[in-house]
Amino acid sequence: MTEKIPVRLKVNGRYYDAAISADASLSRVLRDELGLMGTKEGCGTGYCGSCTVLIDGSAMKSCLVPAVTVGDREVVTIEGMSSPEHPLHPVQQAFVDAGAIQCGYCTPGFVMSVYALLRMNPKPTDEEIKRGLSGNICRCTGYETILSAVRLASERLSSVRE
Amino acid sequence: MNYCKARSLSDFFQKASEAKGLIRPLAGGADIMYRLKKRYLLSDKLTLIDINGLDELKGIAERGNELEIGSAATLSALEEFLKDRDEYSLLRTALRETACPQIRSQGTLGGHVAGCLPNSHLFPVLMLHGAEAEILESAEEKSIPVEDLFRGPYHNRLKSGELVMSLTIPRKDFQWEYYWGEGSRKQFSLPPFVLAMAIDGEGNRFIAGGGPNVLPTHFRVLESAPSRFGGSRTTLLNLVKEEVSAQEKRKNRLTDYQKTLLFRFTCEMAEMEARL
Repeated sequence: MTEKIPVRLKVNGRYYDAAISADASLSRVLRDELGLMGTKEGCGTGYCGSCTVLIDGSAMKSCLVPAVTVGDREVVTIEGMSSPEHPLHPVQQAFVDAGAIQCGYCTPGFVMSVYALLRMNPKPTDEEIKRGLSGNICRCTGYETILSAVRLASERLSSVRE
Repeated sequence: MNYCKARSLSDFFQKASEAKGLIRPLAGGADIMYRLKKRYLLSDKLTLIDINGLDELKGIAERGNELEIGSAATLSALEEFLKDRDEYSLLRTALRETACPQIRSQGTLGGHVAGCLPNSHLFPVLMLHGAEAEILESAEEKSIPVEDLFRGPYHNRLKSGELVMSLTIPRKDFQWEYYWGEGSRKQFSLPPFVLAMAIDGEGNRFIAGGGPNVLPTHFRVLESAPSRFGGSRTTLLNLVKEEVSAQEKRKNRLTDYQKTLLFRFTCEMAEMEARL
């Protein structure tokens, strides 16, 4: 049996102490140990992107991140995107307004990827959006509404910055 | 499975010498996690030595006419470093095509190369540049061409306890270059075939390719003198045939399907070159 390793995780600004095995993925630890169910696990092997979270500000697929390696790093999940004053982050609101959600399973992963993309590139072209979201799969929307949501989020966040 | 964290390079080698069974350095960890989940890598008797704390493996620097990249530098860090360096534009293109942004933020160049990923976008380009891997085993250091690391998909030629420290990529002043990830399925980010081709200032041609479905291994076709090549499709084809038979002599047998695709892609490259 694989030994359990004590790790202190910082997720959404809060510290959690957990004992996890070396082969445990971050997505499983977030869901099973910390009860943060917003991060979805689709394929579990890095294809679908529904488990995307931010680690030190970069989007990563948490199903492929060994949880033991994130002890000194800052993790943000979909739960960390909202606040009491703003129940929905502007990226989430743009997804709602553009109708970019159907079954919604892929949405948390898309939102995290879009957030990371717009932080690096606040006004991406359509080509850049497609490249930026190439690691996320949606099987319902056909992607057009997701593209619209990213454009909308980009406009709104830019106007806030200006 | 055992897990331990290396505090320094000497600590890594100390832990590697004490560990029993299969030893794997753990940096980004994407490939190791994938292979554990698919049971391509079995966790019994596996020791992961976490090298994330070793900052000396994360540097990226340009020294003279070479790029030196620490093995634990992430692909996205390298992509960022090369943003305005046009002399490495072929590498930049290949990096942009590699997997997806999430994986590039996590994956390291050392993991990519030492992991011998069969769907690598980077191997052919690294081969064109004549990239070398610096390998350290305890106090002993050696440097080998990156293609010599590749024993087969997911299998490298490293001995237990050896660590890829860095990659050195010589600058090549290519006059013409072309990169092609054939049939890339974007959602899975796996190219069935990657071909890179370039001509340097002296007219030398370089071709390298690879892929999980088309070729079982990566290969470097040639570094030929212009007179040998002549820009002609037939000559180019003959040279590729030579390489295929050389591969077969080395027991890397290619299927007819693989050969057909290889020839087709090479013809298309040659036609493109002839139009220059």
